[in-house]
Amino acid sequence: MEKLIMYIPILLLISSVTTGLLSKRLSNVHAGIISSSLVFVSLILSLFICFNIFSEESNILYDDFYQWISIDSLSIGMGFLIDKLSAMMTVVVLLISFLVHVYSIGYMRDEKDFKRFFSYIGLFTFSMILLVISNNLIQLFIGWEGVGLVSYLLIGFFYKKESAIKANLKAFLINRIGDMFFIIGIIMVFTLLDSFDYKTIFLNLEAFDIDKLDYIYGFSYLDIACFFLFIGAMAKSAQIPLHVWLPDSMEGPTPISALIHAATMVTAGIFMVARLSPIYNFADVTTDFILIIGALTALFIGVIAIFENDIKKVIAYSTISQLGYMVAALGINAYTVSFFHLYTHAFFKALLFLCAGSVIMSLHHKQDITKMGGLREKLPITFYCFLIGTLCIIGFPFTSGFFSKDLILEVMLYENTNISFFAYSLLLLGALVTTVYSLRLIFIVFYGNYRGGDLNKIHEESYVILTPLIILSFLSLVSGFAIKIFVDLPIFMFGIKDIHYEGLIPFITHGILSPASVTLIIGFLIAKYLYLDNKKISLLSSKFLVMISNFIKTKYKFDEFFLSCSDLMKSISYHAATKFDIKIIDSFVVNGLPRRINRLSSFFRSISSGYLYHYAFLIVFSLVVIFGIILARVL
Amino acid sequence: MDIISILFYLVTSVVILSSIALIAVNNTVHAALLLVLIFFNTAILWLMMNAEFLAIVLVLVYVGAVLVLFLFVIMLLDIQVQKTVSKKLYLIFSVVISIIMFAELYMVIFYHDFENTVVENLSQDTSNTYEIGLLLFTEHIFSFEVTAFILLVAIIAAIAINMSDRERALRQDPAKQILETKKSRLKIIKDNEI
Amino acid sequence: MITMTHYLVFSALLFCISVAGIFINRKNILLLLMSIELMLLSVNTNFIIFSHYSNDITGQVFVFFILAVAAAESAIGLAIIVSLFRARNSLEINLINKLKG
Repeated sequence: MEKLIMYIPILLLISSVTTGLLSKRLSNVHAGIISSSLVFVSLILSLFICFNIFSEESNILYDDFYQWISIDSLSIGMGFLIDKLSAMMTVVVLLISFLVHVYSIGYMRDEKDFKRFFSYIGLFTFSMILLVISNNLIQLFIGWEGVGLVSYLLIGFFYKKESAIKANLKAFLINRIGDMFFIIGIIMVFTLLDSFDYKTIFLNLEAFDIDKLDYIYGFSYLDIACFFLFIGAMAKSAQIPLHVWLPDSMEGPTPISALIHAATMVTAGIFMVARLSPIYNFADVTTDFILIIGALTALFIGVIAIFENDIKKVIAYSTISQLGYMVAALGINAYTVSFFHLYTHAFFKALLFLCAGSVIMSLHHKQDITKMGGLREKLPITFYCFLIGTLCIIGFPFTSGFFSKDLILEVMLYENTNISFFAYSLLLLGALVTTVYSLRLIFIVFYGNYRGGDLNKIHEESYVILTPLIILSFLSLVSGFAIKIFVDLPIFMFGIKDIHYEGLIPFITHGILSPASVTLIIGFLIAKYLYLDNKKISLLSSKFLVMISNFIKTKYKFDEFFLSCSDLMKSISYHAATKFDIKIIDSFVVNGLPRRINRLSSFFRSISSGYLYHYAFLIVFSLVVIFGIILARVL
Repeated sequence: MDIISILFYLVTSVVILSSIALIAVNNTVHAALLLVLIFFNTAILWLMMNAEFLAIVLVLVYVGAVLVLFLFVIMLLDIQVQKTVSKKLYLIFSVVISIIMFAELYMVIFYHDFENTVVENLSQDTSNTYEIGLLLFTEHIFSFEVTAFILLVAIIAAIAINMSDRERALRQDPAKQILETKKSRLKIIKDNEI
Repeated sequence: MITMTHYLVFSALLFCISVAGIFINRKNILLLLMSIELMLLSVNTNFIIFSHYSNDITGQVFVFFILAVAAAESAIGLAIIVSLFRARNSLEINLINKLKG
């Protein structure tokens, strides 16, 4: 059993390395088949492990398979911690990764760098698995950086496109900000709890006297450590204000947007917080902060999506918004609920992206939705899959999104504090917004008249592309019924949060009768009125609302904010370079020190005459002096 | 004054005087012969301290082999006899430093007061050679082997250093240097000739 | 009565004379080597003194090793001197100052 876990990352690494190194020898199809089948084998392994974990109550696999560094109490190794959380995460990652692999064989078939692409996604899946199964913070960080790196490489996959290069640089830099704080957080956790290892950390945490925590400006050190760790998660999971990289990351190939920037990598932040939930349980201030950030992201980024015209960017904004829901759920310590949404979201968001990819491919890489329309008849399978995805994301009853989103809202309401009520209202509004932009997409793309030219040239893509869509549609529909598993999902060494759950049927009836259903109906009416019937609401043309919508179209000027920050840094570093670098470092240290040394050494050079007897004399003389000093002390 | 004391003062004075002579003498052959004298007398001193085996080794190995090697090298190289001592300042400095050093050593010796250390009766039934051999071949056998190896290395090194043939020996020949012309050392190649 | 102190003073004196020999001498590298032999001899004498007066034969074993190593050292030293003489045609120490800074 333990051996099997090791094989999963090893197989993925093999997949990445073979397609990468043997790119000259392998044909495109062979490379695709090899890496897909390797991912499939690891998927089977992970399913096996997952069933094993679930078959026994509180079965946790925990071991190190490699000791890397060991100094005193510091011990860094490679290992795995498989509980129900990471077992399910592994399955989700590998399942979607497998489907995306298959999809990519079709989607990328005309691409010159086909094998480079497969090497990258192999490396991505490897790093993600390393992150998920890790049993210590360092390995988590390695996986974290690995997925960040691959994300960078894949956003810039079309490296001849200027916008792609800019987007990947942006993603990389924003993630560096997060990673810097993340590593500070890791080090703080190490100094406080004296280990990188989860088990030791949590054991030390239990023995930790909470009253003896050191405080700084009213925040405990544990709080600050959690805060820094969360900033890392904010960058990775694209929360306000570090979300700006995710919409731009849509420059990458669409399968990548589905795999990395929707389903798996961006959820790494949520996974990390859920994994470290025993620590976050003690961080009251930080969890409030998390709650507010998540709720704000869920609403305000969702609003941007209404005004966006690029099909992929709309879905990207919806991803950020949905991530906001997960983060908000983390903010009230409802980790399993958040993870439930992560799990359902992975399926329907991957589905939406892959459908969008199918549409884009059929339209020969056109992404502007104002140039689409009426594709329902031409792309029936894609339409139905897209419809299913949309129903899921807006939380239509009995779909997976309904279960997970309603659970988040209900738990939020049940929390019953001022701050959680505030978050609840934001999330409810967010649900309305979600309905509007999701239905807008489907109305504009699949209904109405085609606005892009000749409709007859368009036809469905091959079954390599469609099969993953159908599988994902099925999964999106049914995955919500696994709610029972998630409500009482045990997280490693974390007391389960009490969630009132009385069974499937009461939950569904309660969910249908909740305010979320009202938002669903209102959202549907608005979207139908605006985008399907194309009517203008006179209220919307009022000056005030136009101003607001124009402001939203600037995406709240976050990009400009970061640009001005970088300009500020540039001018500061310019001044530092001219004043400090040239005057102090260059003329005083770099050139000044050798000048002084030269002067000093010319004195010492006269001592070393090169004559043997001078050296001997000096040695004996020094010996006599030292000996004399010692004697004077002793006698 | 018993006979031992007389012998001691005789021997030590010979050693000290001849070592002073050794560092002052100009002729290298004389110096080597003085060294022979010093070694012989020290061997006597060692004998007085019951170190019979080492005294014999000193005479056989040092006087018999090493010093003969010295003499052999001196003869071989045919060194011109030159005045060894040069500037007076250096001489004074050296002598002063040596005297200070001796003073310091003297202070150490008297500080520790070795006067009271008495020789316990050595077991007379076993010989000195036997005892050294016993230690050498049991406790220090590894060091003994290493020493053998060091000697082997020394032999090989000494041969290797001097084995180079005449042609390749790094030797300056001023006559040849003067006769060299610019043309024989330097060849100017123009760009288009390459 | 000759005590340990007599022997120790003798060997200290011998050592100091040979140290002086090293830096008085500036013409002949062979004399340098002889001075070193003299220093080793005084050190050996010290070993034997202590071995004798503390009734421990290990000191003499040590002297044995020193003698062997010193023999090797002087053999190699002489070999170097021979090749030095071949290369430079003289053994004067004050002509050897390649290390001059």
